[in-house]
Amino acid sequence: MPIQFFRPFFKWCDGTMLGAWVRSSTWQFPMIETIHILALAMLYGCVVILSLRLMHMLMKGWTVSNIANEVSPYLNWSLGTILVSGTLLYLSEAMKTLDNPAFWIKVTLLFSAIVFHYAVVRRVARADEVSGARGFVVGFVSLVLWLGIGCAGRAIAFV
Amino acid sequence: MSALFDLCNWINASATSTAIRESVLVFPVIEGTHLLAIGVSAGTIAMTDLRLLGVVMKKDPASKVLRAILPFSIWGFVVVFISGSLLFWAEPAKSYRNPWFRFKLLFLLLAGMNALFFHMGIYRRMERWDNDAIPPSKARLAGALSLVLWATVIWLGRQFAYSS
Repeated sequence: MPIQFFRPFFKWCDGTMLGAWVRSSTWQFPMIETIHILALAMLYGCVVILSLRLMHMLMKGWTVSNIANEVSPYLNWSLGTILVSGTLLYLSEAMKTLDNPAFWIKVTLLFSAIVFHYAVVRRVARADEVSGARGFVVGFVSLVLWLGIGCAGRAIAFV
Repeated sequence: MSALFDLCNWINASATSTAIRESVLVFPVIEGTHLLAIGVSAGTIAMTDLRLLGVVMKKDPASKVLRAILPFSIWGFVVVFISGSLLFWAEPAKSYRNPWFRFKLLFLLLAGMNALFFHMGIYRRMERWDNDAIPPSKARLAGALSLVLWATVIWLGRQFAYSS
């Protein structure tokens, strides 16, 4: 699907009141971005602990399901905060992102990471222990997807 | 202080500083590394703070939780510190004049001191409260301060980026 297909939608986003509000002074963008990054840090803390546990690289004294249950509420809340603050940032500069390949890579990775987390990681992490290779692959893919979103996100500002 | 300013200007004019500053690839890669490492370091620190506050992993001894997670926080912070130093090396003159940057360094120092006091103080007497679901007030205070101070460091870093 050509990117231009999305142009009218992005133009509409760019013109919303919320987008205009974020642009309306120099304070909103850095403050919302701070919230975005604080939530990212919380999410990364949860993802690193859960993924590395699946990879048998930390907290081996805990069962996988125990770790998953402990970190999940924080992971869910930080993801929610990231999505809300990220949407606000996006609305304020939607037209700038349309032609930015880093933005599209980020959105694709984000979608993949969310699907992978709730469809695969959460399901696998119901078990007390996950066998070597399987756990390693699931944890590794999860880690790469979430870290990749951060990389692509940072790249939006530079492309 | 002016000796410090002279030093910043000297670094600013150096070949390595100019090279990082003007590179289309190196500067963004260092910034990306800085961000990812902040995520790993601050995120895992936050989980240990939540244990100290008696919020997560209450059934497990605090020492066991901290010992399992803190190596990742520390190694993450080493990467944060090195990448951050390189970013400073690329823009020392701009950073020196910026009040947000000075506050960031101040809060970084406070966050470090909080961690140091915790490890030299109540952490040493951990065997007395290791199995408490909710640790004593001094440990909870250290956890709460850590959360607030690190969040402030991140906030000041963002303001710094948009203020010059």
